[in-house]
Amino acid sequence: MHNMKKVWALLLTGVLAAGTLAGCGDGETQLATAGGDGQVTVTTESGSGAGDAGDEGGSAGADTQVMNVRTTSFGNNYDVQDMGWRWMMAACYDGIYRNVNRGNGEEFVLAGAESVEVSDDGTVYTFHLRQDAKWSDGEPVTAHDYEYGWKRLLNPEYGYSYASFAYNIVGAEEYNQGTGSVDDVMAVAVDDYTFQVTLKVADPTFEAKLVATPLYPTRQDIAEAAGDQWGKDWTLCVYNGPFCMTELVEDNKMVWTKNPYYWDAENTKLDAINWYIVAEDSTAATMFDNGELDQLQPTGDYLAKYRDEVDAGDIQMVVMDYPGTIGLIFNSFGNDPSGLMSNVKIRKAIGYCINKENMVDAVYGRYKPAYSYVAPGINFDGTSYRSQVDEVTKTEYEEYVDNPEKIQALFQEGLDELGITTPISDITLTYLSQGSTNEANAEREFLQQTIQQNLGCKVELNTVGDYALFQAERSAGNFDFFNSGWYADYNDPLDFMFTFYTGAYGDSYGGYSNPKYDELIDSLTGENDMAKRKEIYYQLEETLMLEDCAFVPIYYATREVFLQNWVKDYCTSNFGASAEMYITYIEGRGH
Amino acid sequence: MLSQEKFRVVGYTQEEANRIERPTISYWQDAWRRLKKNPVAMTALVVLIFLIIMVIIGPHIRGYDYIAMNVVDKNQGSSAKYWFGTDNLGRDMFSRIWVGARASMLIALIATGLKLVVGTLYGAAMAHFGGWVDDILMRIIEVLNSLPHLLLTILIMMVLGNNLFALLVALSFTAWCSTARQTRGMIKQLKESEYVYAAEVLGASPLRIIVKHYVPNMLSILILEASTAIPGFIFTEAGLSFLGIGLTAPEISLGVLISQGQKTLDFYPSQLLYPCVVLCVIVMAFNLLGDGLRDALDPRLRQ
Amino acid sequence: MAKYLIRRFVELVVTIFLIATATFFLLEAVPGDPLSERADKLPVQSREALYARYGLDKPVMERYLLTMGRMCKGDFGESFVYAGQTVGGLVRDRLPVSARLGLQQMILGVSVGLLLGILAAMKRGTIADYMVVGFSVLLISIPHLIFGLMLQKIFAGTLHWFPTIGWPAGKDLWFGGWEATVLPTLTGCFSYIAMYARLLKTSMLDVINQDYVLTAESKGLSKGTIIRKHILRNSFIPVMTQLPMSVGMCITGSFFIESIYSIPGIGQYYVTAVNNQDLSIVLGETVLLSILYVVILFLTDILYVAVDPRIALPGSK
Repeated sequence: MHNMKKVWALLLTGVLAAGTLAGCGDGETQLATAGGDGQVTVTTESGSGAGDAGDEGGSAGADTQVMNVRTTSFGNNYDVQDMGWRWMMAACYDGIYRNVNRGNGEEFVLAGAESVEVSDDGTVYTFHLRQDAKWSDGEPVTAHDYEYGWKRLLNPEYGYSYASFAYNIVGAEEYNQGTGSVDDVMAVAVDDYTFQVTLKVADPTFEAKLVATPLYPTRQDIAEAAGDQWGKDWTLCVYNGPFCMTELVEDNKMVWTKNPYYWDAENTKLDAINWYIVAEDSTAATMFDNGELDQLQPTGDYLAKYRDEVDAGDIQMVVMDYPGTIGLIFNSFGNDPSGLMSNVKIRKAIGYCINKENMVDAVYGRYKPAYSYVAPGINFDGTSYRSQVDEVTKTEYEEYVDNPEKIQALFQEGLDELGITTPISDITLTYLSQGSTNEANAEREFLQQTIQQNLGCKVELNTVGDYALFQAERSAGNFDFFNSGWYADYNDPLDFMFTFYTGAYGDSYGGYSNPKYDELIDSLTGENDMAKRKEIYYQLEETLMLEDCAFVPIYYATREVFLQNWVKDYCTSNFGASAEMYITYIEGRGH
Repeated sequence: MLSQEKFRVVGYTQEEANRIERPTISYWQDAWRRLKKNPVAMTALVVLIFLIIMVIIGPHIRGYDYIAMNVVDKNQGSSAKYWFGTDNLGRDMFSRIWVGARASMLIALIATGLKLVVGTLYGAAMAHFGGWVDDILMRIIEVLNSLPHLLLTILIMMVLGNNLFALLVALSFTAWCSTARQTRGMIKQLKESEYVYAAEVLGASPLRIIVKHYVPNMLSILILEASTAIPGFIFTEAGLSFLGIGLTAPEISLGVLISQGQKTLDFYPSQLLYPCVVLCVIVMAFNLLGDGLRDALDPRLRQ
Repeated sequence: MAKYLIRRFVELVVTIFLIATATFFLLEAVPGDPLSERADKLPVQSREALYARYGLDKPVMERYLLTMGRMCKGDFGESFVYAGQTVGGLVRDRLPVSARLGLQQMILGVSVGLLLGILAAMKRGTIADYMVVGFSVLLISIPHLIFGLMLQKIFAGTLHWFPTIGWPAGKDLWFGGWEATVLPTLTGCFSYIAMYARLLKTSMLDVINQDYVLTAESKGLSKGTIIRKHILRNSFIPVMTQLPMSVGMCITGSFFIESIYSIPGIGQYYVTAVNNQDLSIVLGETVLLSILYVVILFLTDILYVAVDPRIALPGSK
């Protein structure tokens, strides 16, 4: 038996050695200092949330002002100029404007600036910054921080993806392309609290871009001290937003606590927000039912379940349009496997044979059927663009949908125009899609079945596992059409429209190119007349979907957020943080 | 005092002395006889035969297409119309499960076949050539084994695409290594064994040695390998489905069905339960039959 | 012994080199690259800058040589997908988590498994035997993911006995915060139970029929003594072979468990990295795991010698 002892001794040594290693690691790690209880959510009978983080703050009444929220991944990018992680950065940082939806549409609210002056010709913007704005280390937020942030964005050395957001500033594009000097960029701090920007041409979409984090301020001393690690190591960051990041355990938990130096700190009610990574919907549902989560954005069958609970008054729901549109994009490269995609009638036949209402209901259980490209979540001149402009394909769609004979006739017409005599039943279309979630599977099978049933041709699925493979298949032209769309970066129809501009996004949009479309977009440059812009936007949509049918819209995205009844004033934001929780508070949880 | 007279011959012939009371039975007959005596293994065998029949005729019993959707009847429970209910696009789960089980079993069988053939040949080559060839071939096996299997599987599927062929390659890419090692060890051992030596001395031809000595000894090992490999592959395939790797819609396997059913577990447990039960039964039947075979084929247990 | 160690070390270096090369080119062979998804939603002129920033604009061979050069210095580079994440950080932050999870599963699973194995072998052919076999097959037939979610639903959701998600950190990293570890450990331990029950049963059955066991029986030794002194000790060699493999596996094998219970371990991260084609992380983790594997094989050889004096270290005769 003594040999067995040796074995156990060896095993034990291994365990101890591993333990020692971990011990060393602990000294260096920047991780949670709160200890184990910070990790473990309390699960008493009353189903309390993780209430450990809010103890130090001044709580209103008996409620701890802590929100527990689910997410599926952390962005791991703390550089505002990168906009890699918009929903975190917009809550922990502050720009000139914030974007808040208090239940009646997206609104721009002045945040870092007290007032904005625009010159009569619309090219010079003077921002009068708020003098009480501070960084989380107590230093004031000055115009120099804005100037540094904006010029950093344009610095060709860093290669920021969103540098083009600032291209309309005098000298900006030249500097970013390496032909100009940073001193010629006309975004300057006039004094500590006045920041002035000069545009090349007047641009009504400029203010919308100010909500996006690339145009947020950055502290030169902090960013330069961090060097390579800037934006990568959150412990090196200072924040000027309502919240500060205070704890992060990758793949597990993140804590934001109230920033005491925020200029509006006295109106910021939450003391902490705990973000939990919860991979499975089923787990999240369990936690929400237990009260361990205060907010949930479910999918699939859970939506129906929670809608019923909302009807029963057990929880609340916030529904809003999200500025995204998804649909089918056709192969315009001329290398489509079927050889049919050059014909607009064939493209239309494919598009119109899909009953969007049925599809949205059967496949997604949320969202809105779409008949145009610009999503209702996009505002134009103060109100939703879609409430002002008709959806371009709706009339034609209604003529064809659910009428297979008519659609097949249209398809046949297209074949005749191409001089193709193959019977429809022998034609195969290739549909490229990616992902393996239940929704993705249902989506592709629904499309396959619908098109096969209504058109009478075959649909072959080219399914890939992830985005890189999807992109590779797309570049190789192994598709007749694929499923994609756009989620907007800033609140203007132009952001949607620009995606189909020739070559703007490489082959992401099927290689669509129409000089007429490009000219229309070009004509928007410097156009200050809103009525005229609206007219051009409409023509763009018409060209894209009615004349060319390069894109078949399927749905407009929406967000349905379910909340516990004790969450009050929950505001969302489509272009800033996903939720503007600096307004939110807890009342009635009872602990 | 004993004397010769006190004994008497009561009946004795040379023939009688040499007669064999019981009929000679071969190794395989004996194995089969012992397997028949094992009620658990026999039950497993019957269940397996039933399952094989079902994966062939099962999808046609109810007359529903396993792909065609019928959104009106989506997410139904078991009923006279749909024995196992329907899925989220209103397709008959009964038909889908047998189609899925067919794919799972086929994948497992082909992958096992590949594993055995490649492994045996590779192992035989190692044992036959020996020396530096053996060393190099062994090093290749070691490298393959030290690469994490998941990495290889995911990467192979990414390179070759999500299809049946890629799945088979991915599944059997490293699986043959253990067979090769076993074969190598077995042949090396057999080469040295007294009875092979005896056969050689008696002038048996190499063919006779291979057929009469190598093959039977190897076969029992290979049958055992197969009976554990098949459920292993069924499992691995199911596990990959959870990672979104493997067959893609509209092709289905039990793994695909289970991973789809898991998403709706809270609402329509039957969509998970039925494919899971079928998977359990298949795996259990193979395992129990394998156990039975091990007992039956083990020469040391021969009575 | 010294000669043996040197040989082993050279083998290790060669194996690691081959593995790193294979991993690099396998990842290269996959269509697309780690930046595809990010680049795809960017205007074209910004894409080049992004690729240049990560050095992905260089030719394959140049990147291979650069990567190998850095690897020799122990630097695998930074994640392409998660800014600032390095292999060093991964070892420091995530390895201990996975190691504790894996070891807890293994210790529980192996001990229960061995007990069941003994039971099944001793009561061979009885109801108990079939129950052990059936039980173990049933348990491994239920995918981890489903099993984990069901445990979570019942014990965390309905009964509130344990936390739904989470894992001890900080001072509780190794010892403490036990309640959070119960469900993940349970979820994972069943595959070990099944494996070791079957393994020990089979090898015990082999031993039971050996002559020396018959001899011991005919000497009139008590059943307990025979089991302890003769059967168990001799049937432990296959278990010994398997055990080190399990240690290697247990650290990476908990992908689904880590995902369900939001445990910040390396299993989950590895799969994500492979899917993202995050070369530096995949390469680093692969090399790390391979070293672990080879070291474990080495320990196995030594263990054999410790357990069975008849076995000599390969190549040391």
